[in-house]
Amino acid sequence: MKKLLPFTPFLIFIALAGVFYASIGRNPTLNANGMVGKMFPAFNLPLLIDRNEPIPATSINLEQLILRFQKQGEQRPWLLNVWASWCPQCYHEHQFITSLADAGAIVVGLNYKDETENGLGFLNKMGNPYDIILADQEGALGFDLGVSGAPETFLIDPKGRILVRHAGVIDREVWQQKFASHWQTVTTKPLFEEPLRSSAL
Amino acid sequence: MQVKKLYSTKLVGFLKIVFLISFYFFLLSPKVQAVIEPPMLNDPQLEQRYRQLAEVLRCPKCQNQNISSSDAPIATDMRHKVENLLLEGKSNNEIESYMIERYGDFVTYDPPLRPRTLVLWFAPLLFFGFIATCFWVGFRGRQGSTDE
Repeated sequence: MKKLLPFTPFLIFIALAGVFYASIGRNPTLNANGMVGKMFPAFNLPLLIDRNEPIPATSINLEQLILRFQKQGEQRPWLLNVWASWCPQCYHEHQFITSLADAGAIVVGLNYKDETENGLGFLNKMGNPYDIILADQEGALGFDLGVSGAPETFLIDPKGRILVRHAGVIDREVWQQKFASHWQTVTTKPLFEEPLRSSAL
Repeated sequence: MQVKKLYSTKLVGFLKIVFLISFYFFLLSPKVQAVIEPPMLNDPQLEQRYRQLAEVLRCPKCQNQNISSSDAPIATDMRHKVENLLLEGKSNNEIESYMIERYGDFVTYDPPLRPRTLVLWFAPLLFFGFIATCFWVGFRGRQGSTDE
């Protein structure tokens, strides 16, 4: 013990260096998962666009949204993608959102703090993979979801419980790491049939 | 034997003044940070609580800023929410847990005591104990050597 004593500052330095090294590249803001495991917050929002109806209803609330999916048949989880025309990464991630919809996922859009005109312009240019898009101009639902910016993506089970939250761009890798296992607990069938190849990104 | 003076008394006096001035600015710094004017709530008690909350709530999109000093859109939203919740008559605790529910523990500079934060709260105490033990062991060791 006495022989070790002169080395304690050095040992403390090593321990601290280890802690700091482990934290490099970790973004604490992305780990704030306050809403995971809780019920999707209640809302009543106007629609930006509804794929199934040429003239969309003026507004929709949570119960109506969940009913809508139950009417579409089997119990399936759904995704909520927070996007905006002012968000550069949203353009970047849009292709992957489209591939999720193509693979058969229900994707709800949340047009976050955007102007109607700009939001529609984004869809005209990039295509519309969304089943339905809620217009959250004030960011009220975004706030209740703990959204701090766009893009963000949530996975919600058929009963309305939030299973996963991801802040930032979603891609195949993120899907495989964070979403795929939860997706399969609800539906048993994976969304993407072929396994992820690391070079396929 | 008289210890030889290393510095002139003039220099020491000058350094003291420099130290005091920098210390004064150090005390001033948190106030300089608060740049955004609090809203008029027409109740000094509410305004006081607003300032407390805006000080302790952390902007989730920033590196290290509370919402009273951040210009980020999310910080603006949070300030409005704090204002509204105060006017609705919610307590400080209720408002803090409202934010933690949505944005996680990250959102407060006053972290709650729970299993996950035990290390955070008690590590300084452990560290202090460790240092004290080191001193004690060192002291005893020296006493022992004088006996020899």
